Amino acid sequence: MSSGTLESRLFRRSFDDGWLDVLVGTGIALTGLFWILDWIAPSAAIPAVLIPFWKIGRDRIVEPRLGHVAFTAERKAETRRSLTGWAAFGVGVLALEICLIFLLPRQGGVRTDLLSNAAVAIPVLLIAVGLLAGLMIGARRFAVYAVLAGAVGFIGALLGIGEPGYLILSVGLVILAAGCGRLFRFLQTHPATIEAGRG
Amino acid sequence: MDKLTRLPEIARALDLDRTIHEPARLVILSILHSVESADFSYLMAETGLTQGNLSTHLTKLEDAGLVDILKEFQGKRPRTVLKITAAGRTGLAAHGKALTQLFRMLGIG
Repeated sequence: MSSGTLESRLFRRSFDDGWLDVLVGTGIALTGLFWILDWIAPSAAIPAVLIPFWKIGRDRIVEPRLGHVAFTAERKAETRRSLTGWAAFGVGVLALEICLIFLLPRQGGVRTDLLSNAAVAIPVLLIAVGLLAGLMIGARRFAVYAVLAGAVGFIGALLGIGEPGYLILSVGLVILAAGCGRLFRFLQTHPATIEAGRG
Repeated sequence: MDKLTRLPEIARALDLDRTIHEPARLVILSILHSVESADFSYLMAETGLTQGNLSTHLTKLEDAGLVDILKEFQGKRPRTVLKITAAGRTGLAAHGKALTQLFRMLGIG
Protein backbone atom coordinates (compact mmCIF):
# COMPACT_ATOMS: atom_id res chain seq x y z
CA MET A 1 0.00 0.00 0.00
CA SER A 2 1.60 3.25 -1.11
CA SER A 3 0.35 5.45 1.72
CA GLY A 4 -0.51 2.95 4.43
CA THR A 5 -1.37 4.86 7.56
CA LEU A 6 -3.70 7.54 6.21
CA GLU A 7 -5.19 5.13 3.68
CA SER A 8 -5.92 2.46 6.28
CA ARG A 9 -7.35 5.04 8.68
CA LEU A 10 -9.63 6.44 6.01
CA PHE A 11 -10.66 2.90 5.11
CA ARG A 12 -11.45 2.11 8.75
CA ARG A 13 -13.38 5.37 9.14
CA SER A 14 -15.53 4.48 6.16
CA PHE A 15 -17.06 1.73 8.37
CA ASP A 16 -17.44 3.88 11.48
CA ASP A 17 -21.01 4.96 10.72
CA GLY A 18 -22.56 1.95 12.46
CA TRP A 19 -24.52 0.56 9.51
CA LEU A 20 -22.34 -2.59 9.44
CA ASP A 21 -22.95 -3.12 13.17
CA VAL A 22 -26.71 -2.71 12.67
CA LEU A 23 -26.74 -5.32 9.91
CA VAL A 24 -24.49 -7.77 11.77
CA GLY A 25 -26.54 -7.32 14.96
CA THR A 26 -29.80 -7.79 13.06
CA GLY A 27 -28.44 -10.91 11.36
CA ILE A 28 -27.29 -12.49 14.61
CA ALA A 29 -30.48 -11.53 16.47
CA LEU A 30 -32.64 -12.97 13.68
CA THR A 31 -30.54 -16.15 13.69
CA GLY A 32 -31.12 -16.48 17.43
CA LEU A 33 -34.83 -15.90 16.98
CA PHE A 34 -35.03 -18.50 14.22
CA TRP A 35 -33.19 -21.01 16.42
CA ILE A 36 -35.63 -20.37 19.27
CA LEU A 37 -38.50 -20.97 16.83
CA ASP A 38 -36.68 -24.13 15.68
CA TRP A 39 -36.25 -22.76 12.13
CA ILE A 40 -32.57 -23.62 12.08
CA ALA A 41 -32.25 -24.45 8.37
CA PRO A 42 -33.95 -21.21 7.17
CA SER A 43 -31.64 -19.21 9.44
CA ALA A 44 -28.80 -20.03 7.03
CA ALA A 45 -30.50 -17.75 4.47
CA ILE A 46 -30.38 -14.69 6.76
CA PRO A 47 -26.96 -13.40 5.60
CA ALA A 48 -28.03 -13.67 1.94
CA VAL A 49 -31.23 -11.73 2.71
CA LEU A 50 -29.32 -9.00 4.56
CA ILE A 51 -26.48 -8.47 2.06
CA PRO A 52 -28.54 -6.26 -0.34
CA PHE A 53 -29.38 -4.01 2.60
CA TRP A 54 -25.68 -3.21 2.93
CA LYS A 55 -25.69 -1.35 -0.39
CA ILE A 56 -29.13 0.17 0.22
CA GLY A 57 -27.98 1.60 3.55
CA ARG A 58 -24.69 2.86 2.12
CA ASP A 59 -26.51 4.56 -0.78
CA ARG A 60 -29.38 6.06 1.19
CA ILE A 61 -27.99 6.70 4.66
CA VAL A 62 -24.19 6.84 4.63
CA GLU A 63 -23.10 8.30 1.29
CA PRO A 64 -25.49 11.30 1.28
CA ARG A 65 -23.71 12.31 4.51
CA LEU A 66 -20.16 11.01 4.22
CA GLY A 67 -19.82 11.17 0.45
CA HIS A 68 -18.36 8.54 -1.81
CA VAL A 69 -14.79 7.30 -1.79
CA ALA A 70 -13.17 4.66 -3.97
CA PHE A 71 -10.17 2.99 -2.42
CA THR A 72 -7.11 1.79 -4.29
CA ALA A 73 -6.98 -1.39 -6.34
CA GLU A 74 -4.60 -2.90 -3.77
CA ARG A 75 -7.06 -2.21 -0.97
CA LYS A 76 -9.94 -3.67 -2.98
CA ALA A 77 -7.91 -6.81 -3.74
CA GLU A 78 -6.90 -7.16 -0.10
CA THR A 79 -10.51 -6.75 1.06
CA ARG A 80 -11.69 -9.27 -1.54
CA ARG A 81 -9.07 -11.79 -0.35
CA SER A 82 -10.10 -11.24 3.26
CA LEU A 83 -13.80 -11.60 2.48
CA THR A 84 -13.15 -14.78 0.51
CA GLY A 85 -11.25 -16.15 3.48
CA TRP A 86 -14.06 -15.12 5.78
CA ALA A 87 -16.68 -16.73 3.51
CA ALA A 88 -14.66 -19.97 3.46
CA PHE A 89 -14.41 -19.77 7.23
CA GLY A 90 -18.19 -19.18 7.41
CA VAL A 91 -18.83 -22.30 5.33
CA GLY A 92 -16.58 -24.22 7.72
CA VAL A 93 -18.49 -22.84 10.71
CA LEU A 94 -21.80 -23.77 9.09
CA ALA A 95 -20.56 -27.31 8.34
CA LEU A 96 -19.36 -27.68 11.92
CA GLU A 97 -22.72 -26.43 13.25
CA ILE A 98 -24.60 -28.88 11.03
CA CYS A 99 -22.37 -31.69 12.35
CA LEU A 100 -23.03 -30.61 15.92
CA ILE A 101 -26.78 -30.28 15.44
CA PHE A 102 -27.45 -33.42 13.47
CA LEU A 103 -24.70 -35.82 14.55
CA LEU A 104 -24.00 -35.09 18.20
CA PRO A 105 -27.50 -35.84 19.55
CA ARG A 106 -27.38 -39.31 17.96
CA GLN A 107 -24.28 -40.24 19.92
CA GLY A 108 -26.17 -40.53 23.14
CA GLY A 109 -23.43 -42.43 24.95
CA VAL A 110 -20.92 -39.65 24.51
CA ARG A 111 -23.14 -36.89 25.79
CA THR A 112 -22.76 -35.97 29.40
CA ASP A 113 -24.45 -33.00 31.06
CA LEU A 114 -21.21 -31.07 30.89
CA LEU A 115 -20.75 -31.77 27.20
CA SER A 116 -24.38 -30.90 26.59
CA ASN A 117 -24.00 -27.55 28.35
CA ALA A 118 -20.82 -26.79 26.45
CA ALA A 119 -22.44 -27.79 23.16
CA VAL A 120 -25.18 -25.21 23.77
CA ALA A 121 -22.52 -22.52 23.88
CA ILE A 122 -20.73 -23.67 20.72
CA PRO A 123 -22.88 -21.75 18.18
CA VAL A 124 -22.40 -18.45 20.01
CA LEU A 125 -18.69 -19.19 20.44
CA LEU A 126 -18.46 -19.77 16.69
CA ILE A 127 -20.22 -16.43 16.19
CA ALA A 128 -17.58 -14.89 18.47
CA VAL A 129 -14.84 -16.21 16.21
CA GLY A 130 -16.76 -14.96 13.16
CA LEU A 131 -17.07 -11.48 14.68
CA LEU A 132 -13.27 -11.27 14.79
CA ALA A 133 -13.46 -10.96 11.02
CA GLY A 134 -14.40 -7.32 11.67
CA LEU A 135 -10.72 -6.80 12.45
CA MET A 136 -10.03 -7.31 8.74
CA ILE A 137 -11.49 -3.87 8.08
CA GLY A 138 -9.73 -2.47 11.14
CA ALA A 139 -12.94 -2.21 13.17
CA ARG A 140 -11.53 -3.04 16.61
CA ARG A 141 -14.98 -2.82 18.22
CA PHE A 142 -15.71 -6.19 16.60
CA ALA A 143 -13.08 -7.72 18.87
CA VAL A 144 -15.14 -6.35 21.79
CA TYR A 145 -18.28 -7.89 20.27
CA ALA A 146 -16.38 -11.19 19.93
CA VAL A 147 -15.32 -11.08 23.60
CA LEU A 148 -18.93 -10.31 24.54
CA ALA A 149 -20.19 -13.28 22.51
CA GLY A 150 -17.55 -15.52 24.08
CA ALA A 151 -18.56 -14.35 27.55
CA VAL A 152 -22.25 -14.92 26.79
CA GLY A 153 -21.42 -18.44 25.57
CA PHE A 154 -19.35 -19.17 28.65
CA ILE A 155 -22.00 -17.82 31.05
CA GLY A 156 -24.73 -19.65 29.14
CA ALA A 157 -22.84 -22.92 29.50
CA LEU A 158 -22.25 -22.29 33.22
CA LEU A 159 -25.92 -21.50 33.82
CA GLY A 160 -26.94 -24.55 31.81
CA ILE A 161 -29.19 -22.61 29.43
CA GLY A 162 -30.70 -25.27 27.22
CA GLU A 163 -31.47 -23.20 24.14
CA PRO A 164 -28.53 -21.70 22.19
CA GLY A 165 -30.99 -19.41 20.40
CA TYR A 166 -31.35 -17.26 23.53
CA LEU A 167 -27.58 -16.79 23.73
CA ILE A 168 -27.37 -15.89 20.03
CA LEU A 169 -30.33 -13.54 20.32
CA SER A 170 -28.85 -11.72 23.31
CA VAL A 171 -25.50 -11.21 21.54
CA GLY A 172 -27.30 -9.99 18.41
CA LEU A 173 -29.44 -7.53 20.36
CA VAL A 174 -26.42 -6.04 22.14
CA ILE A 175 -24.57 -5.55 18.82
CA LEU A 176 -27.73 -4.15 17.24
CA ALA A 177 -28.15 -1.67 20.10
CA ALA A 178 -24.48 -0.63 19.86
CA GLY A 179 -24.85 -0.25 16.09
CA CYS A 180 -28.01 1.84 16.45
CA GLY A 181 -26.22 4.11 18.93
CA ARG A 182 -23.27 4.49 16.57
CA LEU A 183 -25.54 5.14 13.59
CA PHE A 184 -27.55 7.70 15.57
CA ARG A 185 -24.33 9.55 16.47
CA PHE A 186 -23.26 9.43 12.84
CA LEU A 187 -26.59 10.89 11.69
CA GLN A 188 -26.29 13.66 14.25
CA THR A 189 -22.72 14.59 13.36
CA HIS A 190 -23.05 14.17 9.60
CA PRO A 191 -26.05 16.05 8.21
CA ALA A 192 -27.04 15.11 4.68
CA THR A 193 -25.36 17.34 2.13
CA ILE A 194 -26.80 18.25 -1.25
CA GLU A 195 -23.77 18.29 -3.44
CA ALA A 196 -23.77 21.50 -5.39
CA GLY A 197 -20.40 20.85 -6.96
CA ARG A 198 -17.82 23.53 -6.99
CA GLY A 199 -20.12 26.51 -7.08
CA MET B 1 23.44 35.65 0.64
CA ASP B 2 23.62 34.21 -2.85
CA LYS B 3 21.33 31.32 -3.67
CA LEU B 4 24.31 29.18 -4.70
CA THR B 5 25.84 29.44 -1.24
CA ARG B 6 22.70 28.30 0.59
CA LEU B 7 22.43 24.86 2.10
CA PRO B 8 20.49 22.63 -0.36
CA GLU B 9 17.93 21.74 2.33
CA ILE B 10 17.23 25.43 2.93
CA ALA B 11 17.12 26.18 -0.79
CA ARG B 12 14.61 23.34 -1.30
CA ALA B 13 12.47 24.56 1.60
CA LEU B 14 12.43 28.08 0.16
CA ASP B 15 11.41 26.64 -3.21
CA LEU B 16 8.45 24.72 -1.77
CA ASP B 17 5.37 24.82 -3.99
CA ARG B 18 3.02 27.25 -2.25
CA THR B 19 0.01 25.69 -3.96
CA ILE B 20 0.76 22.42 -2.17
CA HIS B 21 2.11 23.98 1.03
CA GLU B 22 -1.18 25.61 2.09
CA PRO B 23 -2.56 23.36 4.93
CA ALA B 24 -6.03 22.73 3.49
CA ARG B 25 -4.63 21.92 0.04
CA LEU B 26 -1.93 19.71 1.59
CA VAL B 27 -4.64 17.74 3.41
CA ILE B 28 -6.82 17.49 0.28
CA LEU B 29 -3.88 16.21 -1.76
CA SER B 30 -2.90 13.77 1.00
CA ILE B 31 -6.40 12.30 1.09
CA LEU B 32 -6.59 12.04 -2.69
CA HIS B 33 -3.11 10.48 -2.73
CA SER B 34 -4.39 7.77 -0.36
CA VAL B 35 -7.48 6.78 -2.35
CA GLU B 36 -8.42 6.05 -5.95
CA SER B 37 -10.95 8.89 -6.04
CA ALA B 38 -13.29 10.76 -3.73
CA ASP B 39 -16.27 12.98 -4.28
CA PHE B 40 -16.77 16.54 -3.10
CA SER B 41 -18.99 15.52 -0.15
CA TYR B 42 -16.39 13.03 1.11
CA LEU B 43 -13.68 15.69 1.11
CA MET B 44 -16.04 18.09 2.88
CA ALA B 45 -16.79 15.48 5.57
CA GLU B 46 -13.16 14.46 6.07
CA THR B 47 -11.63 17.93 6.04
CA GLY B 48 -14.44 19.89 7.70
CA LEU B 49 -13.98 22.65 5.11
CA THR B 50 -17.02 24.60 3.97
CA GLN B 51 -18.35 24.09 0.47
CA GLY B 52 -17.05 27.47 -0.72
CA ASN B 53 -13.65 27.03 0.86
CA LEU B 54 -13.19 23.52 -0.49
CA SER B 55 -14.35 24.65 -3.92
CA THR B 56 -11.78 27.47 -3.97
CA HIS B 57 -8.93 25.16 -2.97
CA LEU B 58 -9.94 22.54 -5.54
CA THR B 59 -10.01 25.16 -8.28
CA LYS B 60 -6.46 26.20 -7.37
CA LEU B 61 -5.30 22.59 -7.35
CA GLU B 62 -6.98 21.96 -10.70
CA ASP B 63 -5.44 25.09 -12.23
CA ALA B 64 -2.01 23.88 -11.07
CA GLY B 65 -2.66 20.51 -12.72
CA LEU B 66 -2.46 18.67 -9.40
CA VAL B 67 -6.05 17.40 -9.31
CA ASP B 68 -8.54 16.25 -11.95
CA ILE B 69 -12.16 17.25 -11.42
CA LEU B 70 -14.84 15.18 -13.12
CA LYS B 71 -18.54 15.97 -13.13
CA GLU B 72 -20.88 13.02 -13.27
CA PHE B 73 -24.38 11.95 -12.28
CA GLN B 74 -25.32 9.19 -9.88
CA GLY B 75 -28.93 8.69 -10.84
CA LYS B 76 -30.33 12.20 -10.76
CA ARG B 77 -27.76 13.43 -8.27
CA PRO B 78 -24.80 15.44 -9.56
CA ARG B 79 -21.47 14.31 -8.24
CA THR B 80 -18.05 15.93 -8.43
CA VAL B 81 -15.33 13.30 -8.42
CA LEU B 82 -11.77 14.28 -7.56
CA LYS B 83 -8.57 12.45 -8.47
CA ILE B 84 -4.98 13.35 -7.88
CA THR B 85 -2.95 13.62 -11.10
CA ALA B 86 0.51 12.16 -11.73
CA ALA B 87 1.89 15.69 -11.31
CA GLY B 88 0.02 15.94 -8.01
CA ARG B 89 1.61 12.72 -6.73
CA THR B 90 5.07 13.83 -7.81
CA GLY B 91 4.60 17.28 -6.35
CA LEU B 92 3.36 15.93 -3.03
CA ALA B 93 6.27 13.47 -2.81
CA ALA B 94 8.81 16.22 -3.58
CA HIS B 95 7.15 18.48 -1.02
CA GLY B 96 7.32 15.77 1.63
CA LYS B 97 10.96 15.03 0.82
CA ALA B 98 11.97 18.69 1.08
CA LEU B 99 10.19 19.12 4.43
CA THR B 100 11.57 15.85 5.80
CA GLN B 101 15.13 16.87 4.90
CA LEU B 102 14.67 20.23 6.59
CA PHE B 103 13.21 18.68 9.76
CA ARG B 104 15.99 16.06 9.85
CA MET B 105 18.47 18.94 10.06
CA LEU B 106 16.59 20.06 13.17
CA GLY B 107 16.80 16.57 14.64
CA ILE B 108 13.02 16.18 14.69
CA GLY B 109 12.45 14.43 11.38
